[in-house]
Amino acid sequence: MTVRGVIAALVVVLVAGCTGPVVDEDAEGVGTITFVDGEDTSSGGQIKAAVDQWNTEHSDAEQVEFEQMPRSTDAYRAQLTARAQDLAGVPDRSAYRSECYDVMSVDMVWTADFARAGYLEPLAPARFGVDRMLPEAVRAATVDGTLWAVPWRADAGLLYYRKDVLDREGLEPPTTWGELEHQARTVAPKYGLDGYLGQFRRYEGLTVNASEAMWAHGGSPDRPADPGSKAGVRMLAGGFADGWIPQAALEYDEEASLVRFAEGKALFLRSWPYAVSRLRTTDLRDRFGRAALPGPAALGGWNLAVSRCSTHQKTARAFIAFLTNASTQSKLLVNAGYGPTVTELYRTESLALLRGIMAGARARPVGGHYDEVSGVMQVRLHGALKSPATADASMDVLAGEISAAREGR
Amino acid sequence: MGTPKPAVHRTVLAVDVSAFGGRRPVVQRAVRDGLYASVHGALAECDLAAEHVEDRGDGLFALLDAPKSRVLGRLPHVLAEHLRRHNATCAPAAAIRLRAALTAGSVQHDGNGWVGDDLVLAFRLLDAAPLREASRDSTGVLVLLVSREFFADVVHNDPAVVDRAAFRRVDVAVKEARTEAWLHVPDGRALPPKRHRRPRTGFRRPLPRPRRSAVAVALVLVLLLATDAVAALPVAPTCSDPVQLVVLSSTDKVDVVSRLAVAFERASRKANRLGCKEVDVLVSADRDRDAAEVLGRGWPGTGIAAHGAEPHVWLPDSGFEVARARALLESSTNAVALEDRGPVAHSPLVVGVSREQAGRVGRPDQAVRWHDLGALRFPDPDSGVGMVAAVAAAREALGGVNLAVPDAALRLHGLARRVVDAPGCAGEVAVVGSEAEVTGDRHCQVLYPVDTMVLDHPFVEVRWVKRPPNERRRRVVDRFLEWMRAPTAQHALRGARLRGLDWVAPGPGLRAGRVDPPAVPVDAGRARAAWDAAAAPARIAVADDGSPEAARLLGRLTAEFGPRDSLVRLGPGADTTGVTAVVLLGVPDAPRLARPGGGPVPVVGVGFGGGTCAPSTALYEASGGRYGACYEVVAGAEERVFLGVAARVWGA
Repeated sequence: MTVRGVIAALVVVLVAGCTGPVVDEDAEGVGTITFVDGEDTSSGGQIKAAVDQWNTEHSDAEQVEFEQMPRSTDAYRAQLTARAQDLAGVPDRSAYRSECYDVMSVDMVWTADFARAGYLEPLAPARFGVDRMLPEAVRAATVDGTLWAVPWRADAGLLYYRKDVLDREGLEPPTTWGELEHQARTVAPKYGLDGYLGQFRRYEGLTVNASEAMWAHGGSPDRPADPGSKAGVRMLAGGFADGWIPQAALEYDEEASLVRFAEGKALFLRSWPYAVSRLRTTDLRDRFGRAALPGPAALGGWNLAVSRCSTHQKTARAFIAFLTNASTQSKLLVNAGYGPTVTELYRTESLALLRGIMAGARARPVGGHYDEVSGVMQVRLHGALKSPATADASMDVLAGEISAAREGR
Repeated sequence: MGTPKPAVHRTVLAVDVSAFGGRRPVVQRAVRDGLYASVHGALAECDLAAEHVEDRGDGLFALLDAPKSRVLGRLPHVLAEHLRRHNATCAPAAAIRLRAALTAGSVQHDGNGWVGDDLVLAFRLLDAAPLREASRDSTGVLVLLVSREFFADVVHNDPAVVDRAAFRRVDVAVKEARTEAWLHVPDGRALPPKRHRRPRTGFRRPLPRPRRSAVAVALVLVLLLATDAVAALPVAPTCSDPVQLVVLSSTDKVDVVSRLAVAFERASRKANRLGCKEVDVLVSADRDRDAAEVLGRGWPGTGIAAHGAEPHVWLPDSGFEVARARALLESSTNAVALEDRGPVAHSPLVVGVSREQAGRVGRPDQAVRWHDLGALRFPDPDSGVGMVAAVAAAREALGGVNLAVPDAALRLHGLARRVVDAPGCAGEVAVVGSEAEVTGDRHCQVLYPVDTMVLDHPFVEVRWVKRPPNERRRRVVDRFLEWMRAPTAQHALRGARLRGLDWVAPGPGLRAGRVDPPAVPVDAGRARAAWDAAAAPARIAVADDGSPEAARLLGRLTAEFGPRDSLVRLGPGADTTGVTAVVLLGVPDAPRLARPGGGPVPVVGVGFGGGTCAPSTALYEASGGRYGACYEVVAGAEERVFLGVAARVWGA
């Protein structure tokens, strides 16, 4: 960017008035609060255990009620959105205190939209020690210089491979998409395996998988018409055309792709860290390995936010500080396998692989109306993967659609 | 100079940004952008056309040609919402708090500008002391003063438009005279005037002073740069977050409802003047019975994890379930109110038969009588069509729906024992289902039982009583209902083989025109429970005293058995698994058996002779005592005893 460009950008930012940290030192209100999170599926209910710990350590006046939300993230998001809209701007918030979800866990990609819609309270970064957290996760929770949520659980894509097969071939896991494609083309067929599996059904997983391919080729999902972005999509579309990605993967989500890999039917699988515990219970338990994806991984995860409707904001903030501190995160990592956001927790040797992946992981672009943006991406990307010849043209169309979607149009 | 125009009657909205003058120019610019975006956005969202908007530096006024009730009923809240949104994402220094005034009357463009007494009054109200005080003391982003005449007009025409309690009458001294006006704080608390507090912003915290150096740099930069850099700033209002609408559909029509929801979202975008998407629809699905039960319990917190987001619209297949949900709500919670807004489609209950059977049993106009049919396959009892089919069966078996007649259970069982699990529309097995469902099976010929019932596909608005009314969502619900009744959606529903509101048959070979169901004054929930019990396989454990009377009674009972009913004689080594009822014929010892779902298996005792069921007898005790059933067979009572036993075996 030229000096003039920098200055222009600065002015635009200043004039738009969207600058400056928010100080929340006078957040008021101590009392009982409601905390919502997706269904606690961890073994032994570790989220519930953390809430219980807080409740044991605090007086009756600051008890937390834990309400579990639907496992489907669409339904979860709808529930949070509808409730926030119902309580927005009520003259007397305390009259509806029991209806407010004081503290919400929100998907990283919803955070900016929730903030812009006015559902969240701004937070003071220092209060939660976010400077000790994964910077990319913090960035995704920050809009126009203001922090709206505290990163709590982190996730990033990684590559699972058939170690037994690569060992027999004397090969190392691939570090570039070129190598991956070559192994998927040449090695997999010898063993009757699918080459590469990802999540290419028309849903959020497709946005994630395509984003990773774009980043690996120097592009970015918010600029689909860029040469790098097009190259990434062409690579995937070519994989389907040439067969090293099976056609069936066009309908795979996380579960379907994991099941196929766990049945020993594929050489490579792109998935999330949780897949390892599932694979260890299958026949593949000693025959698979994990590596970083070739190129940046997509960062996923959940943040904690304070609702605008909350009347007990001081307690809400204290509770968030408790759930996100290193001690609680460490317990959730050990007992439930949740990826922490506190960087120091990645220092242990067992997390060496994830440490590297997290450090390079990227958040999906959250420029506004993320749901809409991702929705139009999924439609175009799915079409592009099915017809490589028009993939480039599809990405040109998508670029226009994204700008409209980003404004909610 | 322009040409003077004739006077017109308009609503005047005047607004003024509090503490505008004290801000730095760059911040003022951001505030003005935010003001225009908020006002335009709010007007558009309320479907209000501004005939004229005039800039006043630290504020503006707009002339609106729209019903006053719409302006006062919606605009203040929507405008406050837009202001909060601006404040939420911009620097604290650029936060906006607004004073607003509403008047209405004759205004005229005199060639130089707009003039009129009520225009002047609007600006007087803006400056009035009560409004300034309210602004100072409020925690909200907007305070509003409404002229006496405006308020009176609105309240006189429709008192429900505004909550009068949310308005306070205040005296206002304007230059010409003293008058009164109505003060409203749509989104904050107007604090008691005596307690002096620091002025607060809509952001609920004091404004930090902008760092001088940063502002100075910005000023210099603005001066250095071409002014068109600033002029190029986007001024189009940004889109507000779409209203979240959750639609709970019956499992049977969820596919078509999902498609319609997507089209409705798209249509909302087209209809919006700014091209904004106005609604986000999430469609979830549940069987009618389960949905009614969760709604009937007020969709408790635990229901959210298990059943999904709280619905705003429920689209069951049958209104019977709505009545059931309402009955459940009456006895449990008032958290939910269900408003039946009428049908969006229809589908008659039909019988599907094979071609051969159709030739034999079909009558003119494709009518059929139940008793002409043999084996019947029934739909899932938990679906809407299952409910309607059960009520229809109860009507058929009882010649009405009086479930209190002594032989009700036996008569229902008489029909229910024809129910089979075999595939329908094959050979002599007929299938009972909705027209939509049966038409979809190409092996089925559709016949209409005489006086058949109809699935009425009601549109049910779900209101969450404990939360404040959400006007935006209410409008979206209204529009969704309109959309479901409009030609595009009706066409799609016909594509899903439902009959639209015009009753046009959804395919060839179906009965044309309207199908009028008989009026059924019935507790559908009870009718279904009776039918379910009568149709469930019975396994009866019997102990008897070997008397001819016992044998005769047992013989009559087994004569009523359907193919899925069975009998086990109690005694050493008897296999009592799955027993649904115990019948003691003159023998006082009953084993204690539990049903799979918990609770004891019902026992019915029969004594032969007077006094055999007296409270002192062992048979009376064995039959469950005061809460059980023990019948004495005496002369002339055989029929009554038999019906009593049958009611225990096949009754609800």
